[in-house]
This record gives sequence, structure tokens and C-alpha cells, in this order.
Amino acid sequence: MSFRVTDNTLSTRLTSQVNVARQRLALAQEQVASSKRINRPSDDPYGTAAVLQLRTSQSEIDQFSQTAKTANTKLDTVDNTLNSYQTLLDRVQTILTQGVSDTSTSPTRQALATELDSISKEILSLVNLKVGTNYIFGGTQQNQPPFDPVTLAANANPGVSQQVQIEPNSTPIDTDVTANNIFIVNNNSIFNTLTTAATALRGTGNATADHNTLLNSINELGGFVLQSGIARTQVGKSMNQIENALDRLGQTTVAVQSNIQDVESVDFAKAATDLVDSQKTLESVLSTASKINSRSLLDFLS
Amino acid sequence: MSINTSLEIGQRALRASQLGLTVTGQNIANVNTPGYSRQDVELASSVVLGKPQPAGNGVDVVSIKAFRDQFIEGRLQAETANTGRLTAQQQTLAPLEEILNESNSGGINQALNDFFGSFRNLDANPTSISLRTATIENASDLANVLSSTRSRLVDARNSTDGLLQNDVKQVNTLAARVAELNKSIKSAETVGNPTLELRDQRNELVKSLSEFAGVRAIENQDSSVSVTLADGQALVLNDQAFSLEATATPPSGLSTITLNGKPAVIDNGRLKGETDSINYINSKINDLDNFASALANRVNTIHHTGEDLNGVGGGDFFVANNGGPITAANISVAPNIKNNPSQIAAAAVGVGKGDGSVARQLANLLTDTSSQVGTVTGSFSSIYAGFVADAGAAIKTAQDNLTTQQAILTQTTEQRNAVSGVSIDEEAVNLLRYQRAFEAAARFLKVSDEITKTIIALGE
Repeated sequence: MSFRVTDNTLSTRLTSQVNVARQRLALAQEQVASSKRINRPSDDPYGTAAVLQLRTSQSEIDQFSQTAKTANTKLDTVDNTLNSYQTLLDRVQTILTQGVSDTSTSPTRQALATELDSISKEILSLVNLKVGTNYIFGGTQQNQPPFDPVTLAANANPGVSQQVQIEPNSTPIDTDVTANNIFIVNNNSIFNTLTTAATALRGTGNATADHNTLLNSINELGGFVLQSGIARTQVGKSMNQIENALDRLGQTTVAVQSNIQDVESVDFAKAATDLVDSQKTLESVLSTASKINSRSLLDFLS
Repeated sequence: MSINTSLEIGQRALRASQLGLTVTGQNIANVNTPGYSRQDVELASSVVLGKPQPAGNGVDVVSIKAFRDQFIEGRLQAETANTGRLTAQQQTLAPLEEILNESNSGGINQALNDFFGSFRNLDANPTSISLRTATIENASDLANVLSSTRSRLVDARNSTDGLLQNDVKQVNTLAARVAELNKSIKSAETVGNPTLELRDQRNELVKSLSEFAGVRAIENQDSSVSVTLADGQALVLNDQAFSLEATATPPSGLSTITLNGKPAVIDNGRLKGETDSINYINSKINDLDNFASALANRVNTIHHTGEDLNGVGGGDFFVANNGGPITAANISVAPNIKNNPSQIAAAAVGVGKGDGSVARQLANLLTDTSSQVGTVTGSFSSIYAGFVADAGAAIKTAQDNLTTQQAILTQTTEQRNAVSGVSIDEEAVNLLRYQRAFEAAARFLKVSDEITKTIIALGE
């Protein structure tokens, strides 16, 4: 006996076919509407996990870029300040050279000494420069002035350079140079040199000794100029590192974004074709429904 | 052949055809009745035993039989049980999808990124009170989203448990009705009443019982059906039904199902699907608790190595708000830190307040691959992604299994329909057949009547 196809067989089958077709249509519609292939974890569990991880990478990159930019701003300030410092050192050099020359008269020397005093104050304000509440040359002790504004003594507990990490899995870079590495050479501070030179210019009564003191000061000044140059090189190196890091972070962002797109986004052409396909399938299922249910033998018996 | 015999044959033929028409009508009437098995009149030509007779004695109605294949019915029952289990599983796991969906934004992954990211900001500017405050806000957000996700998981689990309790009641109602029908069928058979429709009903009820509890059913000699659970414990025996009981069991308050005081062994059907889902959701809750506790531990350990803005060593960053061990439910930022952002220990001990190395270590924790949660080692970000993927895979498996199972059930149902289903076309043919037979039998009676008349006229 052949397989009996009963009325209920047809309707059961039809119901399930309509359901399947409708499900396909709904899925295709959702993908087109959201332009995403993954709309919930079960759509692609491992793709979902990949997207979550990629988003974490993206967020990490964003954070690193932000940190790098903050560090860069700070380094910029440090560099500008060092630049001003170097200009002042140049002036000190001129003053000392002038003061040590045999032709300079006592009133001139007095004037030069006064200028040195004011330069010393200017340098102090650079050394103790604050951005917000932080001393830029304080390093990790950024909440304390590197040099006492009154006694001009260096902070007994100097910090070390502040560091910040600007890329995943990289060693942190320095974001500043501490005052003790710029304004102190051989345990001698710039202020000490300036004060000694000013005293010598004003004259202690011993012209030869003063002359030697000034010569010594010029010598010491050479050390400070060199040191400030080294500091600026360090700052420049950090800024360079940041620039390179930002470059790489930018490239990684592009890669991560395109990965996210690859995993998460729908192939639009395919989704649109699926939508049309599933629509047609549903229509044909429905049209067969009207055909198979229209007639039975009873219609032909009279 | 006597005249009387002719009339008798005619009368029997009429009755047989009429019965055929009735049965056809019954079939047509029940074309859409679930579980109905099509019937047919079993006829046999009648003979009179012991008397030598040249012709037969007309037609006998032997019985009305139902087309039912026990093998297919058994398969249908088993497939219904599978479908019940997978449907329940799919339905009860579906809420996890929304709870863990992060396809847009928000959620635990985002909160993790924000929390660890705020330590990255602190690395660049360790003394900033506003960044410290933002860190505490992000930490509180993370704690909140962990506990709200957990409580939504608990809700999903508890509502599944509610469903289970309802289904247990349903099983008891069905079992009672099967027992009732066992009784009715037995008594109907004793007095010789038809039982086909009652059997169809009972069959349908047993199928429902399978859908709910994956039961086994055996038809006994006395026409009663015994329904048992997987381990052979009886749910229905003759006209007696035994009740399943769902009792809330501490500490979780979830139901355990017992039958006659013993644990009920249910290996299929909706109840099994619901139990599986409850266990799965429980394991996810457990995973989330482990995650929260591992996260809090690692953050705390690193935080302890640091020094805050007041030069004081770092304490616990995360604590349990109710004192016990840290879980996803009770994780929160330590109150002293919450009230005083300067107590975040961002600096290494003795280096100065402007140091951010501890904040940096904390920021790097997000992708540090040596974190351990339960038995899984990896970064917090990858462990959480794995957690979501696992749930997604469980839901997807449940959906795929259900789709396959529905196809199997449809096919099995088609097989049953091929044997037991009513075809209107066939019934239309039967209608014609019995109608023509009835007409012919009536004609035969008329002829017999005329013959009788002729014979009577002979005597006048």
C-alpha cells in the first residue's frame, strides 16, 4: 500500500513549512535592518566573544591614545620651559663674560649683579612652575616645590621621573625630567652658582678672587647648559616615542575596526538577496497552500 | 433458501451499510480531532453453521476497528517527550540571550573596559581628584552591573522553577485522567461497550504525559495502561494515579521533584528540560560569582601594594557589602574609598604621590592573561567573553536541537497520520460505497418483498 497522505498530513506539513519560511524571512529582515550579522550571542557565540574582545582592544587603544596625548601636553610644557631656561642661561653666559672682562667698570658690574638676581628669580619661577596643582619638575613628588622659594634649597626628597604606559605591553616612558637632574650639577644648584657670581660681581674686596670666582661660575654654567641640553634630548625622545606610539595605535584602530566589521557586520548584498529569496519562498509556500486545500473529491460528487 | 432468510439478508445488509455510513460520518467529523484514529467497519460474510445451505447468510458486522500502529504510537510518544524537553530548554534559556546581549553597548564588558580604563587615566595623572572620583564611579558601575546581571540570572532561574512547579501540577492532572480512563475503559469492556474513542483519548493523554515527564507507557492484558517514570516508579497503575511533588529545598529554594517520597527520576520531557536549564543557569550564576570574586581579589592584591595620597598603604578596593565572601551579588567599592577618593592607592610605596605605577598595574590587569576564574585561566576580558560565548552556544544548541527535533516530530506525526489520519477523499469514496450498498440492499429487500407478495397471492 502506498503512503497515505491525509488531510492532516498536508496541514501539518504546511504549517511547519510556513513557519520555517517565516523564520528565514524574519532572520533576513533583521540582518538587513540592523546591518549586523550578530544581533544576539546565539547568532554566533564565538563571533560574539571575538567582538567583545575586539571592543576591549579598541577601548584599550582609546585609553592609551588619551594617556599618550596627556603625556605629550605635559612634555610640551616641560620642553617650552626648558627652552626659556636655556634662553636665560644664554643671558647669564653673556653677563658673566661681560663681568669677567677687564674693561667692565664697577657700576656696570653692579648692574650685571642686579640682573643676575632677577634672572635667578625668573629661573626659580620656571623651576617651580605649576600646571594645575602639579610642579612640572617635581616628578613623582609633583605636589612639593622642587626648590624652596625662600631658601632656594632643593627638595631633600626629590622624586623620580613620572612614568606612563602609552601602548599595550610596553615599558612605560618618562613624561618629565626632575629638577634635581636639570638644575643641580655636581651637588651644586644653578641658584648657588648665580648667587656666588652675583656676589663676586658686586665685589668682595679681593679682585683676583672675584675674578677667579667668575671664571669658575662660567665653567659651572657650561655644565648647566650641557645638562639642560641633555634634559631636552630626553624630553624630545619621549615625545618622539609618543608620536610613534600614536601612529601605531591609529593603525591598530583601523585594523581592529575592520576586524569588528568583518565579524559582526552582515554582507549586505547577501543579506538583501536572502531577504528577497526568503520572501519568494514564503509566497510560494502560501500559494501552494491555496492550491492543495482548494479541492477534495466531495467537490466533484454531485 | 427461505423467504425469511432473504429478508434477513436484506436487513443485515442495510444495517451493515448504515453502520458503514455512520462510521464514515464519525471519521469525517473527527478529521481534525487530535489523536483520533480513523475507524472502519469490519465485515464478514455470514454463514450458518451446522446447516447445509447452498447460499450464505448475508453479512456480519464483526467489529469496528481503529487504524492504530502501536510501534508508531510508541515512537510518537518518545519524540513528543524529546520535543517537550527541547522546547522547554529553548524557552527557558532564551532570556539569557537578552541578559548577556552586548551587541550594542552597556553590560559587563563595557563596564570592565571603563573601570580598568579609568586606572589608565590615573596612570597619566595620579593625583587628580576628579579622575579618582571617575574611577570610583566606574568601579561602582561595574559592581552594579555585575549584581544586576546576577539578579536577572536568578530571576530567569526562578521563573523556570515556577514553570517547573506548574508542569508538575499538569503531570498530576494528566496522570489522574489516565487513571480515570483506565477505569472507564475496563468497565466499558466488561459490558461490551465500544472503547475506541476512550482509547484515543487515553493515548493522547499519555502522549501529553510524555511531553511533560518523558514517561513510559505499557498496555496491560486487562486493557489498562501503566505509566512509569524512567526508573520504573509508577505514575499510573490501573485506576490509581500517584502524584509528583515539587518541594522547595533550601538553600536555593529551588524545587526538588519527588514521587511517593522518593526522588523522581525524570529523564525526558518538559520537566527534564526545565531542570537542565535551571542547572545551567545556576552554573552561570556560579561562574559570575567566581568572576566577581577573582576580579576583586586581584584588584585588591595589587591595591594593597600601593600607597594613597595621604601616604597610607592601600586597603581593600572591593569589599562584600554584607561581609561574607565576595560574589557578583554583593561586590561593592570599599566605603572608605567611596567617601574619600584620595584613598585610592595609585602610587608605589615611598616613591611619591605623583607616581602612577600601581594604577598602571591595575589598568593592565584587564588584558593580563594570568587571571584565574574557577578553572579558566586568561585575561578578565577574555574570560568574560568566553562566559558570554558559552551561554550563546548553549542557547544556539538548544535552538538547533529544537529545530531538528521539530522536523523529526513532524515526520513521525506524518507517519501516524498515514496510518491513523482521516482522509476526506477516502471518506468520500466510503460514503459513495456505503450509499450504493445501502441502495442496493434496499432494492434487494424490495424484490424479496415482491416475491413474498407473489407467493402470498398464490394462496388467494
